[in-house]
Amino acid sequence: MEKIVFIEDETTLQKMLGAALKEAGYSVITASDGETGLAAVRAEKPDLVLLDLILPKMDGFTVLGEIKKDEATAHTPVIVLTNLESAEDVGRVVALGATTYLVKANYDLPDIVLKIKEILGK
Amino acid sequence: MLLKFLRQFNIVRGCREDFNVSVWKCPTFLFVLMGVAVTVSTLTAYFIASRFDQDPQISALLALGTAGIVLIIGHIIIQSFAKIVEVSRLKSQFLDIISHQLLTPLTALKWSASTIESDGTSPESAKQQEAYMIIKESTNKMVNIVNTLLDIARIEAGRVTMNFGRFDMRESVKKIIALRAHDLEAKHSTIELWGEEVIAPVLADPFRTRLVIENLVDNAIKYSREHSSIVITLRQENDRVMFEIKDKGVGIPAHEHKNIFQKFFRASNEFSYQTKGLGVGLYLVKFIIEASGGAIGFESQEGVGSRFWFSLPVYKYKT
Repeated sequence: MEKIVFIEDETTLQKMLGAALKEAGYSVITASDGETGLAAVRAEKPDLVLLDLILPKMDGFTVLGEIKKDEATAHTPVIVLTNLESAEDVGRVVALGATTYLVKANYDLPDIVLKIKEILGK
Repeated sequence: MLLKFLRQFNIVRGCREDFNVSVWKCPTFLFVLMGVAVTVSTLTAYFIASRFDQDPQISALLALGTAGIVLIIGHIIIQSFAKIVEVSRLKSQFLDIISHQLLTPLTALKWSASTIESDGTSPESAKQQEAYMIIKESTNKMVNIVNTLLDIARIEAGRVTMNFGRFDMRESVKKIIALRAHDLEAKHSTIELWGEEVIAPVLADPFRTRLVIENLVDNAIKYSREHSSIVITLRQENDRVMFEIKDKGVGIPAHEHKNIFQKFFRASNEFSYQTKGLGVGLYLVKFIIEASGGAIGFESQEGVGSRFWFSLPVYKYKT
């Protein structure tokens, strides 16, 4: 079973997408802040990371940078899932090595699951 | 007419209405004041210098005095502009934060609605089904309003990112029409989709182009008369896909045609039709289409209706 670490501080969104992913057959580990999320990525070595940008303790940009800096996790695809959409934010995330950038409010839940399936080649 | 022409020279009124500041903080007034000061000082300097031409020190002193006055007024003008820029920056930042905060609960609503749908457990009774449709339509409308406000703030700050990709116009138009079922029903009106059944996809920012279509469809519904029919036509012209929407609505008065794509524009006759709106829709629509390498235009006759169109480049498959 493929493993996904989902870092999102909004509990409602975390619960909803987490449930949809479990239903789609993935093993999901959730984290509500950047520090815990990064620790989970390092410990679990997931197949994919879903990352919000505005997070307590450590923001998503830093988490992404740390994931890509570490040889053990650098190859892990990271989907940035946020409601920020300014040119600066997108540019920073792309430069840091994110696989793709999705604006949460623009997608229905099944569409996000579909994108994840595409990236994991399922 | 003459009064209207003369009114544009009323600086004090302009300062109050355009900048909302006192005349002493208003760049237009200060600029005119600087011009008057320079002219008066130069003329005075000329008369005094011609009278006391034996004493060059007086002329030099006058020139120095004039330069001093101009510098002081120039400094006040720059300070006024700096303040206006700062207020505008804070306003955009505030709008950005508020919009972002609104998007989180809206995302939860949108995801909830799509979960109900994808789960196959759609509400059973007609009443529940209608309530569910209202939640879905309203959520989409709110997401659009927030995205519109965010985009306006981004355009003003010069930081819009277009995310280009493949976009199926016909599919999107069909979905948008389906989501307007309640609005159309309330007006006893219909939307017909004409044109080619199979049409090439376009190269555009999918979410923003959907916003463009939604804006044009919503305007057509809002300004239509009851029991009327709106027609959307999609067709391909060489390497462009053309979208056209025609309504039999209130139309736009000819003298206001030049302002239609300006920010906060609201046609003067629209209030008679009791419509609501931000007045930024068409401003954003034009920006998005032009930023996508497309073209946009309209024809409208008051009391008869309007025809809005835009074209976008065909998406070329990678080989």
